[in-house]
Amino acid sequence: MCAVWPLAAAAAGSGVTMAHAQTIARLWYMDREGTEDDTRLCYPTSIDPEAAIAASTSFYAGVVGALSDSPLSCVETEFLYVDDAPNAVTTSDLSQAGALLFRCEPAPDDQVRLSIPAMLTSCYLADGVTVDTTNTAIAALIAELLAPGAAMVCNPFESVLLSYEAGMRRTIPVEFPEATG
Amino acid sequence: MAVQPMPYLIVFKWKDREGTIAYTSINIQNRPVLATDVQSKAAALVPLLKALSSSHLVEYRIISRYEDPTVTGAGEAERKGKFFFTTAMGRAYTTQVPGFKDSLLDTNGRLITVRGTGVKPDIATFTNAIINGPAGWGNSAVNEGGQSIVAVTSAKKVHVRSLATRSGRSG
Repeated sequence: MCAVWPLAAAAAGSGVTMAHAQTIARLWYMDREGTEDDTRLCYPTSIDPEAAIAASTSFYAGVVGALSDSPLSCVETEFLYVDDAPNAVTTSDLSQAGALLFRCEPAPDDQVRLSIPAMLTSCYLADGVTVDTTNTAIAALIAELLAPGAAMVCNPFESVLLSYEAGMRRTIPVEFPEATG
Repeated sequence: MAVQPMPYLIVFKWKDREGTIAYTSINIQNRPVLATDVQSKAAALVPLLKALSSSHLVEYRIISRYEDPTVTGAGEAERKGKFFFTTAMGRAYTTQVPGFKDSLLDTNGRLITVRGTGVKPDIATFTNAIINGPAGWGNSAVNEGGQSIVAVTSAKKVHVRSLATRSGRSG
């Protein structure tokens, strides 16, 4: 059976939506020196996401793991979505980001910082540094991040976001494009 | 110890006019939650994030992660079994297995038999799993372009440095 060519299909789109381009399994092994490397597999995007995760963590983990002296340290299943207008022009400076700080529960001392690269100047107060929470776009994002539901935003240790704390402009690390000349 | 569920990771990738890249990362509590719920959350966040930035949101990844926090490493990651497949449209596809077992190599210590007689059972199980997929899928694994993988062509042992970096790792 032949699947469609998802990246090509995505590139032909409208420039508005993000298209599901790939589902990728990455099976990570750890060797005796602690070095990790992976086996990568791609699944058809038509496969149900739960079935894809199950295939990675059980079926392929067992089959592929039997070939290696190194034990599996991690099994990842990635769902990649791409913009269907990949060459859109921007004028932004990515190193200047808006940083939103949240507190978590059940450990209020835990914090999560969300960086939004090249955040619009209209999202800051007159001082140009403090994030303006009365801005409707900012308020909508904060509400979505704190919204109860099936998928709860948390920190890396599974502490769920409790409240918005503060927001400010800051400089963030970026990856520069590869040299071509 | 078996792998355990970790928080989902959603990574939004931004690009400016010079091709410079930056990321926004969000964790989603893992269990109990369906992957489709995480997909819905990510889709809901896309327009909200886009509305705040003057840069271009080029892609995002939803990453389901299962880790074994107690794993003790073994073998050598640089010793890889490299497998060559072909797709339904005749394109080559390769994948590799780090820390490849010596016992699965041919007597010459370099090649791996994948066709005809003398194919070791674990090798046959692996290549069949790539070509046929799990039971009930009705499809094989695919290449990066979405073309179904239909046949294995050859395999060999190679030594390749391990340069991959796993998401969620800081060190």
